[in-house]
Amino acid sequence: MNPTEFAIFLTIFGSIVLFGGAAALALGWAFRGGQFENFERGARSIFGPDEPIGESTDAFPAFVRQNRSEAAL
Amino acid sequence: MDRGMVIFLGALLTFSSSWLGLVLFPFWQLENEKPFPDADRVSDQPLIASGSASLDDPYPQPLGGQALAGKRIYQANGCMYCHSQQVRSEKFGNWWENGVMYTGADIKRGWGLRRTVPRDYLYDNPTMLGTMRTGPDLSAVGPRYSEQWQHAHLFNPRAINAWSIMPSFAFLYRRVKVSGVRLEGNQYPKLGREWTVDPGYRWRPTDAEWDQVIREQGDAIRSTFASSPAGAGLKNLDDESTKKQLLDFWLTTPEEGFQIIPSSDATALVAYMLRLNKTEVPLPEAKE
Amino acid sequence: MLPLAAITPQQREEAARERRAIDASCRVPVLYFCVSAVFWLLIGSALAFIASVKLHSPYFLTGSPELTFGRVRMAHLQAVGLGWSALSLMAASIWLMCRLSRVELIYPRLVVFGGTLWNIGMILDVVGILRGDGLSIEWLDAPRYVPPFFIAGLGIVSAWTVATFRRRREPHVYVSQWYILAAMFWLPWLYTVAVTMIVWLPAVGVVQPVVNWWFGHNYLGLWMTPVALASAYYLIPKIIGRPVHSYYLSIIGFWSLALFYSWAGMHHLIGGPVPAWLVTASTVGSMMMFIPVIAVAINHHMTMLGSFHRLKYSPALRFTVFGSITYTAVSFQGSIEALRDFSEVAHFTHYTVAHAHLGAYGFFTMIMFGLMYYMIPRLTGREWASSGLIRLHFWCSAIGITIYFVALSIGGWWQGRMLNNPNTGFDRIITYLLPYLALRSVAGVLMTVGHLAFATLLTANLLGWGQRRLGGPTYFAEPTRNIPPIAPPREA
Repeated sequence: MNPTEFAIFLTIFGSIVLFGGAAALALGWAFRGGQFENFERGARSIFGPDEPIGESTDAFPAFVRQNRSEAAL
Repeated sequence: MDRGMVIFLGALLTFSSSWLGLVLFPFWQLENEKPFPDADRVSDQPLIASGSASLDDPYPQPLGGQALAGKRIYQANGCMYCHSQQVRSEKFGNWWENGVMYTGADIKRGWGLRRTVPRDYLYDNPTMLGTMRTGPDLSAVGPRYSEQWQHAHLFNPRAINAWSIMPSFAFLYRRVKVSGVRLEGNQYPKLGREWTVDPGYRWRPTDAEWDQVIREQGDAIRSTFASSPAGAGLKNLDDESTKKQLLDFWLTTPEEGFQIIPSSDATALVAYMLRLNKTEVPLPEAKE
Repeated sequence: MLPLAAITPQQREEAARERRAIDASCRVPVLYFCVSAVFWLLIGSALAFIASVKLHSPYFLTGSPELTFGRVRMAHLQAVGLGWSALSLMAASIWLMCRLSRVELIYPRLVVFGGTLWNIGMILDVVGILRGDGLSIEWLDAPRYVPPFFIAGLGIVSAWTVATFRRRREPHVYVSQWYILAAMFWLPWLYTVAVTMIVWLPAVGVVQPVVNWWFGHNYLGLWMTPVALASAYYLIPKIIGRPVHSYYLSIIGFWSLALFYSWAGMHHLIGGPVPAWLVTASTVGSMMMFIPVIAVAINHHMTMLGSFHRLKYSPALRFTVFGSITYTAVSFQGSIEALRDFSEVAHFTHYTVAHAHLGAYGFFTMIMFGLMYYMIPRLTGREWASSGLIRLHFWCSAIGITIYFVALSIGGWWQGRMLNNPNTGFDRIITYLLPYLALRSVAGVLMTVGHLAFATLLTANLLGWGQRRLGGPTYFAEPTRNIPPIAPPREA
């Protein structure tokens, strides 16, 4: 390994430590900040009263009938 | 993760790491490459393998003139998408024969004298290393073929190799009527009429056309055929099987009244390919 | 989240009204991006067909410089890689970002303007390449005068996506939004650096291919992949009415993708004249890609577990799940391909082409089709005109890409073995490859038939053919009794 390659190797290693360390710190900060509390709840944020969990929202046109509100009219 | 800033900073950091590692480091490492011979040269190194380079010319040399214009044609027509320009190490790639493993097909195929190294590409712009070998590698194609071969092959590769799937570049040539003397020179492809009448395709006359040719110039064709090696032993030149041989022979003779002239693009492209010789100088770092 | 039984009709109507208003706000730009994307997909398919046929029948359309193989090959990659892919995923990003931020798109005309700049760039790009201005830099073949259009168009769309996010009303930032935000930040950087270092202020010698593959691979990894994953992360749970399997895994998947995918790419230069450390570092990145891929695979496939029967009833789900299964497969294959021993054979062959198409088509394009099948009816207020055409599209695309992949993988692998043996002449290699190359053309025709079916459906939908939706909740296409009820959601 010549000096140039060694320098590059060292720099890469250094930056891995740097970036890895930054990532670990950020993760710790996020934990302390409560970002992970009730984390799984986030997965439910895409549902709503109109499209609740437990209802499908897509089907081939051949499988569908009049929409709900039309049926209600 | 309810903060945009976390995502932004994370995306910034992760991507910076790759930008630094895969772009900036190689850039810093390679930007100061110097042509050879350079200050580090040891005097007892053998310098020149073959060809035109001499001890006083640093290697590599930037392209200029015709060759530079030719690189542009090479680029515009996407030659790189079938032809790489890199010779890999003697240890790279393997095959077995009778239970013995061998390596280094690139060099053994004659694509170069040694592997290519960053310094060989000092003046390449763009550097067309390529990612596909539908056709052979062209890093050192220059010394492999003559100018005339290159023109004939570009005009229609199947005139040289019947199995080739390379496109015809006949659109870079013109078929012109010979007025006065036929032009002579390496830049004029010498091809039979089967390749030149319908440039880019392989031409065959219809039965009627062939009959007419026989009526008009039959005697002349027969006498050339009889004196050629192919027709030497044949006695009766009028039976059916010989007639077919006569047609095949006639198709391989050049057209009398026409000639194929390369455009400036074709001349430039061939100049570029003749100039490609990346493995000519044995660089110290290429030693394995 | 309210339990299903506790939702009153008023709540439902109110939420639906909000969702409808959001969809309506981005209707014009998103449809514009979709139509443009499909246009470029058709152009790209035609160019692909020409290039593919030329490889086994070299006399096909010979004679004109515009249609010579090399130019058509470049134009094809630009049309599908920068036309179809970029425009479809911009459509996806805008729509998903509006929906997930629960905010209406403001100044939609600005986004349309960005898309128009991109389209102008694309026209100049494809026409320029066919006329002989192509640069022969893989993925960056666009003539010198094109990048400013792309950078400006991308800048607008990207800035507006972030601006939409900043105006969000939904407190939680969903996993799809992470991916979209990151992609919208990465690509402008990636593209500008690559164009500058290769085209405008060219770096010396082999730095160019290094930057080239840093761009080429990250275009797939940090632009196409994140948005396609974002789409799958939204659609799979949404369509089957069940939250993502593990939200923790999704965060691991996201950050490991950000860190490792950006390091991959140099395996395209294995054995080439570049510093060895570079390829090694990059191969490590490729191997580490197993982490995000497995995380995403567990998440998507476990979410689907127990709901696979729904593939029969939902077109969007069918395309999306096909894409997400392919993602797992193609990523595993990609990590293995980055290994030196493997690359010694597969590099420089059609094997790589097969892999690239499995990723760009089997994964990315299929997911974009899925998204469009879900999104477009909600924007136009009309059902798709024909279930038959949707099925035709799906089966043509799915069978087409399968034939494509299998044929070129087998042919390419043996091509590589033969190339490694200097006693095997090119005549034998070419002759051996011909049937596989012909099979690729057949596969291409199948895929193109699928695209034509999709283009027909899209045109019909825009022209107003198809069952109309009159108000009501977003979910206007209620399944009939023929469809079995969906699996109950897992306990949180």
